[in-house]
Amino acid sequence: MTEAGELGRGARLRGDPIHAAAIEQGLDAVAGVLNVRRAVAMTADWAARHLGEVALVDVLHGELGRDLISVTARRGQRDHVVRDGLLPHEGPAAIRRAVLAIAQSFDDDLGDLQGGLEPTDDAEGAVLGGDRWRWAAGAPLRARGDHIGTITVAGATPELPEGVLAALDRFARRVSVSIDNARLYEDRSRVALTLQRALLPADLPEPAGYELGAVHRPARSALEISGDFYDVFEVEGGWMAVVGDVQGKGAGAAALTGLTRSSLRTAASLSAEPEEVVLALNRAVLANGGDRFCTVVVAKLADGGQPDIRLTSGGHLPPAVVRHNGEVEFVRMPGMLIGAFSDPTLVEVATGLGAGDAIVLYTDGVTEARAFGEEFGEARLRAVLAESAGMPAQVIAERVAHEVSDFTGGALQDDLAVLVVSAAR
Amino acid sequence: MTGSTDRSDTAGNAPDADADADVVRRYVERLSAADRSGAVAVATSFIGEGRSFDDLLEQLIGPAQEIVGQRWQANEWTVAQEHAATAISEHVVSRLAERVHPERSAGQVVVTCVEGEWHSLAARGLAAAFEAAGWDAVTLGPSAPATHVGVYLNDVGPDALALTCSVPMNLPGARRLIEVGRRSGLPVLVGGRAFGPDDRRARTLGASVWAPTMGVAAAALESIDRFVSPAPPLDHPGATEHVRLEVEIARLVPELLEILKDRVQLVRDSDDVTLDQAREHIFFTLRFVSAALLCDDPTIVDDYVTWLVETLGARRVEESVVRRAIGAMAEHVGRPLPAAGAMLAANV
Repeated sequence: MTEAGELGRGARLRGDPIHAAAIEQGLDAVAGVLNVRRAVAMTADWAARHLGEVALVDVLHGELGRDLISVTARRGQRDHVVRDGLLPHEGPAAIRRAVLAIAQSFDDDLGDLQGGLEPTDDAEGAVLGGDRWRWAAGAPLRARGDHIGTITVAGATPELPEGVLAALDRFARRVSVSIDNARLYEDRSRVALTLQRALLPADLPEPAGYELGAVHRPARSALEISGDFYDVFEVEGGWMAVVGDVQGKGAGAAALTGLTRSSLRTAASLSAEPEEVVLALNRAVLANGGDRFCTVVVAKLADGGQPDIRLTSGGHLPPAVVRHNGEVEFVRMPGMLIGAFSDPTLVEVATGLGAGDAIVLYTDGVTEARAFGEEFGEARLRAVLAESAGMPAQVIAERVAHEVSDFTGGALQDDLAVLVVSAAR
Repeated sequence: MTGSTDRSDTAGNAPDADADADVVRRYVERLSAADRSGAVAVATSFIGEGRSFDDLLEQLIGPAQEIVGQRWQANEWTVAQEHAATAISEHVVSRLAERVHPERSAGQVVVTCVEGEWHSLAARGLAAAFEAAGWDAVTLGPSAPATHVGVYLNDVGPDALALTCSVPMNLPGARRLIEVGRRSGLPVLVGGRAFGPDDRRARTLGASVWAPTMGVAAAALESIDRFVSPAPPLDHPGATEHVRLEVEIARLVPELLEILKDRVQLVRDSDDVTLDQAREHIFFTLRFVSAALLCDDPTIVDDYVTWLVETLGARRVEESVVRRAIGAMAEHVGRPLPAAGAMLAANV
């Protein structure tokens, strides 16, 4: 209820409990949304529900703060009109004019709003002479000292309803912070790309004579960027399949992972010999400086599914060969950590892959997964693989990950990558 | 094809049940022969008879996968056969989904299965049903951690999140996804067998819509609120005990394994694999209890114990042994966690 003697905008707002509760609810809903588009759409939706019959919210975002997103919402309508534009940065009045011009080109109905308002630092209302909209109110969205956008609402009643201006002002001041959070989030370095790649189903090439399957799960925390990776690419006379693990987590590991992947591809385009490729990688990691290491295992598959596979390991876990009859062999070979020695000892070993056999490359997220003081270990991996003989490559990869996640209780605690290559039957 | 006529088909004149059972039988035969192209052929001819994509999912693929699960449970099929069959069904769904062309884009929906689940068949099927209804659907890979999905949702900015959960012990993962979805303002649709026969579990966990069938899910997307507020915290008494159990579980499993080794002949020899299996059963049982506490629904534990008795029965473990083991667990777990203990004790 309104307290006697206390008038003005704040008092009007307190006198209108629907607005006050609705404002809190609207702010809560937008508060955690870190996608600019969605935050803007939700703001427009709220304003059209509670303040005017139509609401137009425009926000500048993007690297230079010149990308414009503008959303029009109408009360009682589920679908909003979303427009994107690019603006010269000339301040609020220019934004407003440009937004209205864009909006109008989509919707004649919004023409009445043109010229009705020139936003200042506060919410402002005006009675319009238009046919459709009789009043309009606008408020700036401001954050970190900058004008980042505006909210405009309009209605068809003859007068500006009481309380609208105060509620708009209060909502706009606070929702600005949430929208600005989303803008900041959008600008952050795109480490999330690693996560996106890992979340989407594996997009693998289809070399003739082979079938590929892969699972890549970064560690649980979204901030810990995975150092595990896999890659498959064509080289002279065949294909190269790689699994590696860059030590550590975070931005440094992500950078080295990127370097490792590109070095491997570059080296493989110069020489398709596994040992040469791993040596070249070692040189690249050393040249990069820093004190991070990585391990990698490289398998060269012959063209057209011929049975020869040649492998070189740089300190990585031994790949497993799963015979179609259920036998499992771990291919052990010496090979030193990458990035630690200027002249590492490496060997190349050969194995054969008959029809229906598969080779499984994996990271320590598989064998070193822990639960109740025990490791998943090679024995359990061997048992899963023995049971998976002859299954499609993707199924084998997912089964390994599934067994590990069941072992640890549904969630994986560490990064994990599994790459399976099977020879066609 | 048009969505509306298909739906009225499904609802109205129920197709010949015998004929359907026959197609399912032929389809399962192809699965058991690991015959991928044969399975595609059976499904293609099913569609060719004028049946809708929803029908394919609900009258053919769904029942077939149920049979696959039963065969594994009855120890007739190995886990490898089961996985291969599911992979073939996934292939069938994605192949036939390509034939459905949406005429409009109603919006974008992200579809995922919960963390801990590695079969993406249900998610793919759901995505295909959304596509058929005119939505852009993005299916995430299996077992997507909620934190990663949260980042993804904020990057991509879709209009809705849909999730599937098949095994009730993974329902805590569903709750985490509901939380991240709603924090991004998204309506969250849930479906899958883990949610049980009605909307109670879904409602308790804060889902926007419980979809018992693919058709319901696709229709619900058209009418649910586009913008949703964050999920309120769970405040029923079991929710607190759920959190405590999640913390205690790493300590309880080895303790219970020792107790069961001493008191129940569940662990028949000292062979590593058998010990592993016993530990897995204990671990899973506690995870089912944990999910039941979270959902405030003891029938989750009841159903699980029934299933466990049948499954172990097919592997020559006496029911009385299983019940004794559950009793011993109830006693040990019930001391610090009374609600959890009571749920187990009800199944002794």
